[in-house]
Amino acid sequence: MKTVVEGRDIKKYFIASKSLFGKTEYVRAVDHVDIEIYDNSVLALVGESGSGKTTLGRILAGILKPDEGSVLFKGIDIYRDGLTRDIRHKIQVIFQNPDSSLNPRMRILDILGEAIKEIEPTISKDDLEDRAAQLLENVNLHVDHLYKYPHELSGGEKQRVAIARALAVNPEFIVADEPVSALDISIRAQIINLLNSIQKRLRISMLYIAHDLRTVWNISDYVAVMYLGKIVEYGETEKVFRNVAHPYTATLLTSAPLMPKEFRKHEIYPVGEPPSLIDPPSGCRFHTRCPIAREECKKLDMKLEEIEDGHYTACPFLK
Amino acid sequence: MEVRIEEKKRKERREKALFGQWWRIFKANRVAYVSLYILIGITLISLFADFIAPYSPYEFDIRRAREPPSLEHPFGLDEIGRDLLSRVIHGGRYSIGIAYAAVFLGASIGVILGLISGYYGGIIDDIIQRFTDAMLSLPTILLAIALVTVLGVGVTSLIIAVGLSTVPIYIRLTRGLVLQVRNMDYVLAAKILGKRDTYIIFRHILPNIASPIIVQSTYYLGLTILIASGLGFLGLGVPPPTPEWGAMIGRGREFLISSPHIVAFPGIFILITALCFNLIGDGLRDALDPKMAKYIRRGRI
Repeated sequence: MKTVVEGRDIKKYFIASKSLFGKTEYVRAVDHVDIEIYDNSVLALVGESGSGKTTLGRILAGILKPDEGSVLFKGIDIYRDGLTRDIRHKIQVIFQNPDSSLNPRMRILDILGEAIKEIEPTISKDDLEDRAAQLLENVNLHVDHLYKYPHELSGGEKQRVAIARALAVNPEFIVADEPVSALDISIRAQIINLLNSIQKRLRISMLYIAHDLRTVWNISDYVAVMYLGKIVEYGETEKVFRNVAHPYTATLLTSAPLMPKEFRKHEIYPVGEPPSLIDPPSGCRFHTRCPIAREECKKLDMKLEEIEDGHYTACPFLK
Repeated sequence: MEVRIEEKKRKERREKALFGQWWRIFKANRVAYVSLYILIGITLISLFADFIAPYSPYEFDIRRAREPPSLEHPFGLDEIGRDLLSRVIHGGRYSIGIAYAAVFLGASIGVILGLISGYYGGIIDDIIQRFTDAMLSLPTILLAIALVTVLGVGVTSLIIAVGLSTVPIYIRLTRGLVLQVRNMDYVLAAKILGKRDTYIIFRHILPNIASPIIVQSTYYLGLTILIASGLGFLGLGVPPPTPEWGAMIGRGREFLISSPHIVAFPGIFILITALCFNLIGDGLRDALDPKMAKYIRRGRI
């Protein structure tokens, strides 16, 4: 398998509070994480709110510089070597909320046109309209929408426009940051299917960030589960779902509504509330909420161990 | 390409639709709507003063000084016997012209500095903001007086003085608005597409913060007329015999008791013009507010 994007030992801390005399406190959004996305495959990054998955996604998309570590896109270190315009186009992002990702003062034609002009700066007005119409067609939207403003579109339609814009520059890697969580339940499946078919057809690699495991099963080839800035389980979706090896993943699977029985091997639920990212628990970060925690978990090193071919976990105790 | 677009006319229709929406809300505000027409009227009269004014604003007849309004001279004659109506008509040119020029100057400088300050942040932001703090520590009128003292008396220096005195408030306003818009995902999306900062600032940020700036400018047109007149009243405005409303009041105030018409007519025009600008500002504020746009879609207006 060819690797398209690789994150090596990525660390990103945000300053939470800074006082003149006290010590500076940091939010440990991403804490030394390694991640790989293969060519023509979808990696789902799963975790609850505040686990650092959006931060990691933005770092991999080249829009947020990590404190430590490097991101390689097809072997090029994008933060050290800098992004050329060409590579910039190869990495695109689909945002969570289409209300804020589309400029309310621009027509859909101008929003798409702006992207098209990036790769064809000298395109004529008529050709531009045809290209934009083609892009709308690709995401199953009617050509009439070209002349509308974002507020005249529904949430699902807006997200389709955002997808069309990302596709306009022929990307090879897309970071989809919870692309359906701001949408109505009824249209989520349509958008997921659209992303799925586009990914298959155009052979794009994708990082799909989500907290909803149901959609992950439908769309992704690989899953990485994140908890408090650390990846706790990683592997092929099939293996992770059928043979879950970390109690956090297991609690996610059992808490997800409408999850088929076969994926609910361990009926365990998390205890309490997620701890603060400023002062995360020692040892295994999940031990404060883990239903099967033992004494030694407080000192456990969260190293990923391979338990079967291509399936890694940071917990040696869930059997 | 399989997809072809036939109806290019849709484009224009869409543009009209958006324009029509806020225009409809503005029109629904009768007071603002009437104010707009009064103001257009005053502006046109000032523009064509040469053709409209019945007499020259400079020719005087000292023997008929301070003659009260009559059929021959509807506004009467001023302190040295010039036709007051003609002077008020010509004066609009200076008073309103100065206001437009000053606001244009102040807004251009203030908005650009505010955009830079808000968008880039960091040390540039700090420098611009401390400079703004210093300017804001003086009241606008005092700042204008100080500037006029430095620049000397004359139309150009009056425009510069009044214009510059509005700069700090424009910087503050713009910077605050930029901070709201700067972190929107569409700005990030443009960066991801590889767009340059200047493109992002003028294409994505400015259009989204333009409405409050336009509204503010309308209020400022009213305010600068008052400031310019105030300076004229104090003798710091345009030099005589130029017919500027504030200066006319300043020179007529000695005869306030015996010949009140000399002060009253320019005063009324300052009042009407400033009031119209403010009322239009209120109307624009409501019309350009996206929350109001919701009501119109629900058919309330």
